[in-house]
Amino acid sequence: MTSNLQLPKIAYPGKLICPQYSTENKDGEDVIFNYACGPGTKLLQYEHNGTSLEAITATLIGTVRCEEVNNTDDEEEELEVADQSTEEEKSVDASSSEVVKRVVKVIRVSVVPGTEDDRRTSKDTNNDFANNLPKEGDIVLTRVTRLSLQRANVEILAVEDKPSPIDSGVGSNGVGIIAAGGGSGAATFSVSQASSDLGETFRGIIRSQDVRSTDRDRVKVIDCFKPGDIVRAQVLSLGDGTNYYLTTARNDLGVVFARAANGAGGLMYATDWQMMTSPATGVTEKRKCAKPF
Amino acid sequence: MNVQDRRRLLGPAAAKPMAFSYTTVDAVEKTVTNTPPKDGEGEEVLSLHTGFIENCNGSALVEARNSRHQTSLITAVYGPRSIRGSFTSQGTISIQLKNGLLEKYNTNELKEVGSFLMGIFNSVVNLGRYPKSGIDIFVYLTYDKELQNETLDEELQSKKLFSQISSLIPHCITSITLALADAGIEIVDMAAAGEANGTVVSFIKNGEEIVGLWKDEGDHEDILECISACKEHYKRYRDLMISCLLEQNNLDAKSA
Repeated sequence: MTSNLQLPKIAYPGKLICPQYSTENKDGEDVIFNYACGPGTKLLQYEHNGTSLEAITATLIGTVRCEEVNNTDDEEEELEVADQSTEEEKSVDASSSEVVKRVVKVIRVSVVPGTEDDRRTSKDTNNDFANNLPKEGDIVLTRVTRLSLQRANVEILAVEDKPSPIDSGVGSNGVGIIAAGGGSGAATFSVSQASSDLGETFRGIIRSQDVRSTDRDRVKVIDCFKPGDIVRAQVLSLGDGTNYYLTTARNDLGVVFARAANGAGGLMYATDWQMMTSPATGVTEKRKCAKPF
Repeated sequence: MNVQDRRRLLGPAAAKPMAFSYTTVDAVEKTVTNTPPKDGEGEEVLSLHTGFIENCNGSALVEARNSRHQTSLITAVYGPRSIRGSFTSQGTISIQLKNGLLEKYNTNELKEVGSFLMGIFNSVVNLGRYPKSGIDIFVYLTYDKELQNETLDEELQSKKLFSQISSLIPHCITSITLALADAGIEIVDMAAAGEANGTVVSFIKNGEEIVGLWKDEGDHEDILECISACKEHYKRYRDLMISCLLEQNNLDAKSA
C-alpha cells in the first residue's frame, strides 16, 4: 500500500488528485504521507469556503501513478530539518500527551499519458518529447553539426527517459528488450520531432574541456568528433539562450555511430576508446568513443 | 525521406527513418451534443474533435451552431520547440489568428484577440516545465457566418455583426485548450469562457478564478450578471471538453 487515500485512476487537466499531506495512525505509529509532484502534476492553491488549500492537480490527460520515493541524500537532509522542527513541536506538547513515533513517507504522484494497458504492452518509442525536454544530468543523443578548435556544436535528437544502469545489463532490470548490440533495451528515448532543416531542434555545445576527463586541456576536437557523428552525451547545464552545454567525459559517453571518410565510407565500429575501424576497408579513424556495452 | 539532404552529412548508412505506430482511430464523429437545436434563441450545438492534423503536435476543431450563428475554427499547436536568442527559464507562447474563407475581420482586430488569448494562456499553461522553448498556436477561422433569419430586422442584424468577434472568443479558448491538451502540453486547468452582451469572461478552477476579461460594445449595466452568465457557459464548455478528451484518449469516464 502506498497511500491511505483513494486516488483517482484517470486524470485530466485541472483534476484534483490529492492534498499535499495526509496522515494515518497505524499500530500506534503516526504515518505522514507527503505527496510530491511528479511529471504531469502541479501543486496549486485553491480557495474553498474562504480558506486557502493546496492540492496536487493534474496537468495532463492520462492515468495517475503514485510510487514511494526512497529519499536521496539531499532530500533526506531537507527531511531531517523538517524532522527537527517536528521534534521541537513534540517536546513542547510532550508534557500533555505521550510521544508517538512518526514515519514520513514521500509519495510521488504523476500523470502518465495513455491508459494502463497501453503502457504495459507498448514497445513503441515514446515520442512525448514535449514533456521530456533535456534537463541537467539527462543523457541525450546528438548529431554533430559543426566543429571548431574550442568546441563541437551538436543538435539534440533524443532524450533518454529512463537512465539505463551503468552496465546496461539485461539482468539488472530483468524484463528488458534486448537491444541489437546485445545490451539492454532499458533505455527508452523521447525522440524530438522537430525538423533539423528548419533549425527547430535544440542545440548543444561540447566544449573541448568537456570531451574527456583526463588530459582535458590537450583535447583536439577534430580527433574526437566529425560532422554527422551520433554522440551520446550528458547535459551539464541548460546553457545560454541558444545552446545546452554537454559533456562526454565518461566511459559510456561519446561517439556511438560514425561513418568513415567524413561520411563517405561505411559505418565504423569502436575498437578502443579513441579509435574506430571500418570493417569493409580496415581504415581506422580517431574518435572519442562511447563504451558500447 | 526520398529527398537526399545534400548539404550535410547524414547519420549511419544503415539508419532507417523511425516509424511510429499511431493508433489509427477512425475519424469517428466525436460529436457531443447536449440538446437538439431549439427554435429562436435556442441552445448552442457544439461539436469537438481533436488530433486530426498529422504534422502538428496537437490540434482541435470546434464547430458551434445556434439558430443565428455558425462558427467553425481549427487550432494547431506546434512545440515546444527551441527558440533562439536570450535564455528564458520559461516557455513562451505565441498565438496567431487567421481569417478563413471569409475575410471578415481585419488584421488589427485579430491581433488584439490574439494578444488577449496569449494573456489567458500564459497563466493556464505550466510554462515552468518548458525552459528555452516556444509554443506556437495557430487558430484558423474556417467558417463564421450569421445565419439568415427573417425574424430579425435589419438594424438588429447589423448590431449583431458588430459584436461578433466577442462571440467568437469563447470558441477560440475552447479550441486552444483542447489542442494544448491534445498536444500533451501541461495546463493547470481546462480554461473556457462564456459570452454575454459583448463581454467575455474566461475562468479556471471551477469558476473561482478569472483568467481573462474582454469588453466590447453592448449594454452591460450589471457586470456581475454578465460574469454569472459567462460562468454558466464556462461550466458547460468545460464538461464537454473533458468528456470529449476522455473519449478521445480511450479513458473511461466513469472512474475519473
